[in-house]
Amino acid sequence: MDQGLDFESVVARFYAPLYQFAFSLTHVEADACDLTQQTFYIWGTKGHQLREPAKVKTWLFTTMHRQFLESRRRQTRFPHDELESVEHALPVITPQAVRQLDIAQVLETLGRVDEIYQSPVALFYLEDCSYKEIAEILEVPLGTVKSRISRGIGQLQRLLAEHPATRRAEK
Amino acid sequence: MTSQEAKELLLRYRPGDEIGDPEMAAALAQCERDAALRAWFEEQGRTQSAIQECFRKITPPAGLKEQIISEHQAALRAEWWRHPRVLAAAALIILMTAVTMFWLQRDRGQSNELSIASFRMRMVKEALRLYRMELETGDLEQIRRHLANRQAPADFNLPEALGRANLTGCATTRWQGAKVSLICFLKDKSNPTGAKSDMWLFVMDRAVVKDPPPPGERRTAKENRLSTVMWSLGGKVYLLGTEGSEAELQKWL
Repeated sequence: MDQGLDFESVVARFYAPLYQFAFSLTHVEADACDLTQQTFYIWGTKGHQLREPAKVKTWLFTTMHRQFLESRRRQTRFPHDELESVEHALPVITPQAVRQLDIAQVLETLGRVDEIYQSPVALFYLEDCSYKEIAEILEVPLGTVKSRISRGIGQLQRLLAEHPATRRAEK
Repeated sequence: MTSQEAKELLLRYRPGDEIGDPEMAAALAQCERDAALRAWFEEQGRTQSAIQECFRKITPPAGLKEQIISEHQAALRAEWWRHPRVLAAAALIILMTAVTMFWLQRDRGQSNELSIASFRMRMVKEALRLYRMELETGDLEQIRRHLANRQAPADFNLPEALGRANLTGCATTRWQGAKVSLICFLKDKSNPTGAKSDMWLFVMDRAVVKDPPPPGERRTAKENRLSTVMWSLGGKVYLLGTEGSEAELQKWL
């Protein structure tokens, strides 16, 4: 394996963004830790097959995403509201409510967004990945990723605006 | 581009997105021209920043990195032998050992098979159980002709005493691909057992055996219930065997 790709340096470089992505998806610390560890376990056993060191990041995120989808298939789907498309007018969250947003509220709301939009939106907000990388990670075309991000953000903001905590903050 | 279309694009705006993305650049340009859109975009920017800030606050629990590395090292220790290179090396060692053992055994086997002891053991077995008399005669010249016809050694020399023994016939056999002549004798014509032969002389090309007795040396041995003596003479190896004692056998040499 390439010297820059020894296990410890890969962990040191990517464990934090991977954990953030895992937590964005699972919303539970223990599950996020498991998902992160599982991803690095797979890296430890199969990472040597990777021929392009520059692809480590997308390889890890793709692996994590696959693992997440695999585990989700074994669970009950998250209940979520059917949302209309972004074409409808976007509700505006008041500045006061925006200032009081917290991570629990945001992630709980992200969990209610259509599943297909959750991963693109999380990767978008984590800002570690370009659109091209997000497309590679999620294994969908670039245009699809952009569209899903836009729609996902629209849904997220609409749900946030309707969130009881946001309503309370607005009063 | 309508205001709604611009909003859809601007929802996912990240600084720098307009570079290389004409649609995003157009949406930003429209913001400059449309005050309402600009106000929405500014508000949107604050919302996005707040949401982004929430994501940035996600931090891994203390010790996660160390735990990942520790578990990896434990897995490596537990499964080092499953590594493809280790398995390949083990397989290679096993293969080389097997090949070496095979050749050693083969050489040893070949060596043992060509020994004078192996010849003696096989011929005694032949005398006691296996052979079928091909020619029954007391005439030595007939025996020589028969053996010559069978491409077996026929120009053998009998010890003087053995030359006076009662010939009963002959047969041929093979050992390690070489023809062997068997000349049969009856020591005592009044043998109470009724056996047709009770003494046997085997003659074979000396070169076939890897450790024949040196010329002039007589090598005696007990094999099964036969007493045997072996010697070399004129490019041939001789094996004489009979039931009874070695001393009795010596009388015929």
